[in-house]
Amino acid sequence: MARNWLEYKTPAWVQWCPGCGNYGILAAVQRAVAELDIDPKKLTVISGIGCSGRETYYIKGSNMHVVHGRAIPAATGVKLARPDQTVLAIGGDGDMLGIGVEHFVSVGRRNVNITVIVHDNSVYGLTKGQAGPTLPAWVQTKALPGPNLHDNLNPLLLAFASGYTFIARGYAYHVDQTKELIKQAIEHKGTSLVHILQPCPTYNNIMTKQWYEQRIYYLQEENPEWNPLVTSQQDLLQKMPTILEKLVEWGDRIPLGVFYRNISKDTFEERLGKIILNYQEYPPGKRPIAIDGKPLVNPWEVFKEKVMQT
Amino acid sequence: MKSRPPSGGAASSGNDGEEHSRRCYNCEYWRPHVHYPYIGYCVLHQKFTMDTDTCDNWTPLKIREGDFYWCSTCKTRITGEEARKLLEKGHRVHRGAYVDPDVREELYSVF
Amino acid sequence: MGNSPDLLLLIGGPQGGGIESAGQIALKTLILKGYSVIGTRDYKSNIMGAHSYYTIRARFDRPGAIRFPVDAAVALDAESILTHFNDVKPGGILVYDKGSLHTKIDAIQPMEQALKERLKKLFADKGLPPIAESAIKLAEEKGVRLIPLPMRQLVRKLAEITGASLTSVARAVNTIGLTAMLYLMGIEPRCVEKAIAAHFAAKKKVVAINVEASKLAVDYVEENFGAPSEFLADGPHRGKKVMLATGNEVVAMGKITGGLTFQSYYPITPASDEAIYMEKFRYHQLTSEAEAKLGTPKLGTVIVQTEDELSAIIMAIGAASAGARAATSTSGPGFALMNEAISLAIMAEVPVVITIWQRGGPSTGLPTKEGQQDLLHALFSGHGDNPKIILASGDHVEAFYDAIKLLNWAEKYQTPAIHLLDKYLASTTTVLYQDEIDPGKAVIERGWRIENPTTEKRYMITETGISPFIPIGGDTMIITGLEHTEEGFPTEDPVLRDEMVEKRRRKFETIAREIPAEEKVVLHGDPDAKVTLVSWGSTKPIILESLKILEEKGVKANFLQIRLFYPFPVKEVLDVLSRAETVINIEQNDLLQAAFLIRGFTGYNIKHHIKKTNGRAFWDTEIANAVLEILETGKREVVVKGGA
Ligand SMILES: Cc1ncc(C[n+]2csc(CCOP(=O)(O)OP(=O)(O)O)c2C)c(N)n1
Ligand code: SF4
Ligand SMILES: [Zn+2]
Repeated sequence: MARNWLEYKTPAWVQWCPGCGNYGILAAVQRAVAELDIDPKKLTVISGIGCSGRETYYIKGSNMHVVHGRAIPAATGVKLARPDQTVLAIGGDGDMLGIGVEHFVSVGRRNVNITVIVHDNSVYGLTKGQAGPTLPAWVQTKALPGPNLHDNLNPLLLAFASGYTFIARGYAYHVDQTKELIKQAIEHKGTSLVHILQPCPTYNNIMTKQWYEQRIYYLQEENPEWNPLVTSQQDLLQKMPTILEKLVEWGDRIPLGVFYRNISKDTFEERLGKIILNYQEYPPGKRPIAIDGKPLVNPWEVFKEKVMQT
Repeated sequence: MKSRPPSGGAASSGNDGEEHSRRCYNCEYWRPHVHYPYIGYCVLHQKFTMDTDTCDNWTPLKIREGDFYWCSTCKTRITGEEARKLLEKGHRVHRGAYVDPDVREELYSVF
Repeated sequence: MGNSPDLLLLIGGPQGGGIESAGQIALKTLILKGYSVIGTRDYKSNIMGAHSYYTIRARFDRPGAIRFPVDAAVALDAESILTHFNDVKPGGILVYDKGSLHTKIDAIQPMEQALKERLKKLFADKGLPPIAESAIKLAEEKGVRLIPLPMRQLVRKLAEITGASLTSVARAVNTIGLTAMLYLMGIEPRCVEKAIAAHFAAKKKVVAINVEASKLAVDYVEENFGAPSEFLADGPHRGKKVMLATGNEVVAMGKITGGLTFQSYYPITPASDEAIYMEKFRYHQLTSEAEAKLGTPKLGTVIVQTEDELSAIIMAIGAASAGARAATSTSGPGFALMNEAISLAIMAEVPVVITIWQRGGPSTGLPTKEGQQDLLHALFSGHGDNPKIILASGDHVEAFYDAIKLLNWAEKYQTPAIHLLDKYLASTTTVLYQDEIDPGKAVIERGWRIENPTTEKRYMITETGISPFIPIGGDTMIITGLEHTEEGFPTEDPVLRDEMVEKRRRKFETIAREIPAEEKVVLHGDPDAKVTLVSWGSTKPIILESLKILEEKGVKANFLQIRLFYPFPVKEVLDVLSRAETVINIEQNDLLQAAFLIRGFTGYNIKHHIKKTNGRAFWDTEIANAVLEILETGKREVVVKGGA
């Protein structure tokens, strides 16, 4: 049963520039969680700092707004403490791929069951348009005093190399298609990336709505046979060339859709469950820690190896 | 293993720089203990021997430029080129060193 | 039971050369003898091969300090002989390897150049050659009893006995040296053998070889130096159940006992041993009462090694926000990276414990050496107005309960709480008795928590400044680092801003009021003494020993131990300081950080200081002598410099 997406609105004033791609992303997220019937209490949206980071205030959930670049570790902490929450880590290209890139990479190794949504406008919107990590070299967007001397990184390829098990790309103004990608990402078990191309009319006068719309196309539309599903290591080796070819495609044509969905890897929570056998039932956020203020463990029993009889 | 007492003549008190003394310490098969190099492990006979022991299988250590060696005098790994020079200076050079398999339990986190 | 002996022992050797096992075996031997012990490891920031040493003190009551010179030392390589020949008392014992005497100082690669130069000069001045044997000569001149062991022959013999299956050579070598020393000090070989068995426990073969090594040592010593005239009296602690643990381990035990459910960390010395020890027990057995009540025999603590300290603290903050009892653990460099998140936890009111194991700085500094240089760092960490709870433990027992108390306070007051500890405590092992580590004395409190809220607001403005804690998943909310409304929405309204500033201030007033006085400061010794020593952290047991030495010399002093640094116990500290005639501050940092805080918080300007900054912990004798010097000369500052 789907809910009404309006249930996920909050009283906060949505304060992005007119024409900002973030509006489309916000709508796509709200519709996705509504269609998945996620109780707002059981939804956690976590962001760092940036224009896009404001989104935590606009989506009704049990949310957190942390510091610049750190949405992913916060989301990991929440998810590991409460594996029953649906956790989205959201942020801009600067937040996720610049200052927080170590977490963007490391979460892939863990395959924690969270969804990472990158709002990619290729600029640092909140600080007035400096170059972001996905802005190509020699491009000079309007706030830059000179051309960008850094090359752009490829978030999809980085995610793939880091071990993400779900990789998709959407476009901010395609609310319906992006909503579908987000739904699939949430439903996927493991770390998912939804990379969203987000025009920033205020600072990025190069990669505009028009610029994107001349280039984007959907993998599935171009090739109805397109199948990103990977079910084993062997399957992966077989499909890798096709997947990689699409992951690196960027320039005159930019593919959108689901690139990769690997269901053969266990999540971090599953791995923990192999060591802490009742982890799912007693995760850190819900397990008892005392009875009537008294400890549940006796150090003389637990740390027996340190005990000696003289 | 047939162990025999050190042959007389060239072999003296098991000191450095005697290439022809045919002792474990200058044998191809011997790995001195990294910290206490008077004892070492013979990879041929798979047992511990003392540096001044010897046996009929004694094989001289071959020094080749591209290879790595262990200098138990300097307590460090060296190349073949360095090995030649250090041997001349009387250092003890070996194919490798022996480290206790449980050494991890004796080491501390240090940085 | 006669008078208590007071034994100081040292075992030196290359890092990785079996020194840790030898130290542990010595401690266990002395415990089996019924003594109380402490032992500490000193090592360099070297991976393998540099000099390290283990120092032990044992007597009937628990010793508080390690100091030089020692009663006996084992030095089985040339560097150990050269480093420690002067650290043995006249009349003491120096056990060494005969085979290393001709080693030249310059041939010892791992040795510090500065030490080589000092020794060469010393030997040259005495007309002695620059070799290890010169050190032995000087020790002998001083009246040290020399016990040369022919290690080469002894090891050969051991190899023959054991069929050359000595995989762990370093341990066997050290067992020979250690047993020789203990035997000559009057400890029965039986205790050593039992300790070997206890130490290597399941490794039967290692036990057998080391017991052989130990027998060999006893035979050799008896034959060549004679048996000890008598064995030492047994101590009063026989027939007890005890624990032997380092500071790192005790904090890990405290956290698990205190119900910690989540810890994140990035490896760093001297902190990681705590998290790694905890990880061994991350799925732990409950008491039978708890098992019966909860219906599960075991529960887990999730431990995550993160990509860096930024991630470690934020992950703990995330987990805590979602209801976990969460902590992270680090040292100075890692804590520097955590600073931004400290402010987040203050503003977002998230309960998180940060355990800081200080080491010598600045920067990478002396990563394996003692220092108390992060007090100001801890107190001023974070940007903006940044109050947080800061508690410094003085010894193992305090550290155990403090770990639990800080978890309680963090949750009750929804604030970061810093546990300030240091390298000396981290790597000092001590014996702990059942009444000292007593889970019955541990209390677990979580404060005002609402799992299923109705109308409560996450940042509700209250008189105490404390809002209800609602975990993520309990309600819709926003936990945020921006200034916020009671619901967590951002606000820059001037009136609301001040209301929130005041709410957070009131919270710290509540904390200051509610934390019991005895947790804030402890005045040890005669409250009417004219001399008051002031210090904090792991210097506590050392200073308590110094007080005894001072008393023997006719000086009555007491000791004000500051435990809580924030909220600072202004009244409690002033009460004591204003009564004293002479106040002497004692710290292991150059800036005199605690004195600076005392001046800032109370206006009391301490006029005399004893400090140590060479990376080695204080000795009780050093402090006592420095106090005497200050009392005699009125000096402002005495810097003590002991240690190898
Ligand atoms: C901020 C900070 N955190 C932690 C440390 C501790 N530390 C020193 S080296 C190291 C790991 C080194 O691993 P790697 O880079 O793989 O080098 P390796 O030793 O394997 O060559 C760590 C965690 C530190 N020095 N500074
Ligand atoms: S990487 Fe470091 S620890 Fe490992 S063998 Fe080399 S020096 Fe030793
Ligand atoms: Zn050499």
